[in-house]
Amino acid sequence: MSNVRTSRKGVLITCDVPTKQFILHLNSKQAQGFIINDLDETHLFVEASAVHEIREQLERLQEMNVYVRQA
Amino acid sequence: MDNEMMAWSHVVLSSVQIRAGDGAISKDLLKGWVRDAYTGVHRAAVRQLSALRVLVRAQELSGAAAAAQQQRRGMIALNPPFRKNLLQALLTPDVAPWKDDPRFALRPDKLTPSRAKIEGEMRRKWEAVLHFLVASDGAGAGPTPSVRAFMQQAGLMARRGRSEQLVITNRGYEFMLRDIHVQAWMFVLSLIRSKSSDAQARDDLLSFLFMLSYCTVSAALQPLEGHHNAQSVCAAPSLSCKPLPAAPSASVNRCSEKVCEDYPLLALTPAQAQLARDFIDLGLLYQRKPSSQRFYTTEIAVNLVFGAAAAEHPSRAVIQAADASAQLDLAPRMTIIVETNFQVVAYTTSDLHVAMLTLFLELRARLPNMVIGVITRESVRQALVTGIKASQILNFLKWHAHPNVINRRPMIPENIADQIILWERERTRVKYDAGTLLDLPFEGVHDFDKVAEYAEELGACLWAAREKRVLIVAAAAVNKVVAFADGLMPS
Amino acid sequence: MDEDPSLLVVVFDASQGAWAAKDALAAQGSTVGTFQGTLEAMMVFLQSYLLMHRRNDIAVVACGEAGSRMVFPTPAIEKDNVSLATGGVSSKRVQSCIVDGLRELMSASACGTASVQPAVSSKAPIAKALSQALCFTHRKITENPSVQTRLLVVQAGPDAPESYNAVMNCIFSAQKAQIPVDCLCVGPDSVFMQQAADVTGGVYCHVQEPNVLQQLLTLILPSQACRKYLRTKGQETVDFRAACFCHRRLIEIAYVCSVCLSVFCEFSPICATCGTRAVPKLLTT
Repeated sequence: MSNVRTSRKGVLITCDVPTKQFILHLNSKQAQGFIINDLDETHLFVEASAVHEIREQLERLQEMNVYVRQA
Repeated sequence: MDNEMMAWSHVVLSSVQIRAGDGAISKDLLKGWVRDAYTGVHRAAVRQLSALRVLVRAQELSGAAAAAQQQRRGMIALNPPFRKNLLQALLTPDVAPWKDDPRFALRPDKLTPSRAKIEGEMRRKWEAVLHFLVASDGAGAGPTPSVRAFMQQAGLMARRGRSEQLVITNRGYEFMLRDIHVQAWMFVLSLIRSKSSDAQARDDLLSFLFMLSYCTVSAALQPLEGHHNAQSVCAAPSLSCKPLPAAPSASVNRCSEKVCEDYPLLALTPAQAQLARDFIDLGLLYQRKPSSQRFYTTEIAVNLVFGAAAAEHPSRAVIQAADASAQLDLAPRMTIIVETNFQVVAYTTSDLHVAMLTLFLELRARLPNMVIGVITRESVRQALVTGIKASQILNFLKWHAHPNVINRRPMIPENIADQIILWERERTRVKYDAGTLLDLPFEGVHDFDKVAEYAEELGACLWAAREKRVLIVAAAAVNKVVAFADGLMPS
Repeated sequence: MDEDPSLLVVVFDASQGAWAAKDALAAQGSTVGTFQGTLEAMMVFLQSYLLMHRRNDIAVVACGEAGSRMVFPTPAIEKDNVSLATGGVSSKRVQSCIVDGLRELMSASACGTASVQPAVSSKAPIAKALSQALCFTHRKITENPSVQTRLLVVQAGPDAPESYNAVMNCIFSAQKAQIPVDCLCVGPDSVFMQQAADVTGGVYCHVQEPNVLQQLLTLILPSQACRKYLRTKGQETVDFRAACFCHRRLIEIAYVCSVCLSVFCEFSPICATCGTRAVPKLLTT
């Protein structure tokens, strides 16, 4: 109905540079990439379906470097 | 410093005007008291006092002969009722509200409660309220409906979940972690706001609060300090030509302190009586039984309006006072030491305090007077998830700091404070926004900019790249933006 | 409230001799203040001081021939841990404590002078009271570092030259602690107090008329911060005379030991304070 060339639905991710690199890494590991558009150093546009997976992986990444003092 | 100038000015003016008839003095004389360099400050102070109607132009005072009006241009005076009351405040030793009205004179109470009892009752009631706040509806009988209504109205609790139970909100946490003075004040503020539609009721409430701040807190049992025969020293000194009314004779001549100061309930207007009942429910005022005619004040109530400012941490005097009262078993105070290895040691005997600590600590050991916990990533994240902010946790720890660590700069070890803040930041590290990517193949940048601006105005523009002509728009406003862009497209 | 609370410590000279003399003069019709009048003015001043800020606090130390003691807050009040600032003590009680304490002190002085040794001074120990006041302020400052403290000395009798050293030490420690010392002299001019006010940045008033309230409210009530705005009469001349260490006489020219700086009116080859030997070397022109 419009002349606008491409319009895709998805999720905009705003984060810092290392996190973005990590998401790119996740993307390359996947068989089917979920990144629609790599916008700039701190923004990515991805498929909505991949958000859940990204969140989980990020959680796991953050927990990897945590030390909990054992009583 | 303007406040001081004001205060000093009107105290001095009253002294000057003790002798003069209605106390008018010329503005120039007033200005002459101030150094030339600071006339600006003086002018601001006079302006403020005039705006508050404390200072009035002498011409406005009634009763001056018309002939004398001419000479009175440029003279100002204190507002007569203000002047009368200020003189009374200065010259009579005691201004006790509601006490000098013979209609409401109370017979001496046969069963005066001791100060310990009043303060203990207050702590008990207040803690019950806080328990209700923390543990939501489950814990015990819970406070009265008016308190529940206040919780909901002030946004401290909200109905959540299928059972529609009252659960604590983020503002509720903020409230709970503050000091009792601040809590009482927040309660009063929200009460006043809720009555803001009815001006008369609001005036009543405000005057009740101000009068409360002039009440004396009950004193502990005191032997008469030295014999005191009736002497004129205690009565108003004869400075003015008008004799001032002497204070009530019996108490002045004995000059000893009664065990507790009670105030008559009948002297209050209906709106004030309702507020007094709310205060009694919360423990700010004490009434022995609901049918009793008198009430006693607590220190918190007296200091509501002008009271103890919320300092960054309580001064040593407050701590000593709290320790002393803790010995009397009045107010179990919690003192916390935060160690650099993430361990936290809290000295407290109160269950409420332990409940507050479990919000963000993982408890490891509980002894009769002490609790040991550890700050872990999990426990702090749990707190953050329920809405507590890192700054609230840190302020809580600082406020209850143990005297041994109060002088440490900074009070909480840097690594702990930084780590808590970092854990909070972790949660906001990545932002997810659902949107639509629009590729707008415009020739020039102008049109693209117009579309981008339009999207901005709608508040829907999430990201824009001029070179690539790519725009990301929030899902809600997509259609509008697309329509707008279509309009600009060359057909 | 943005301003800091302030603590005012009043050192009240309740020496029996001085006040009795003044009262006698007043009874004869001369215009001097009486004890009653000054005390009443004091009460009004204290009340107005408490009105200036919600959390202002006061303390009163009285001194007489029988010694000096703190009449407010009494030990009973301190034990209770109630404070004026938070409404725990009514102003009625404050006044009754002050009056009772003063009366006890004056009656103790009155019966004391009958059996007093001639060697003991019959003048009020201002130095003792000043030190007590300063210790009290020091305690309050350690408890609450943000409180502003000031001192007011009401002196009715003459200066006691034998307490020159002690008074000077108190004045210098007040200066070190940045506590302004104001003085209201209702008796003869006091050299010590003039120097105290000058050194610490306070105000010195010498009042001979009965109505001291005006002076109190206009000159002494404003705090340090407020005083810089006001055009007040400063001290034009300050009597900087020192008292010699041997006779306690106020002198203008003296011999000074070059080691310990003690002041003597007559030359002696060995300094009494530090024991240094000195040889007078006359300047040869």
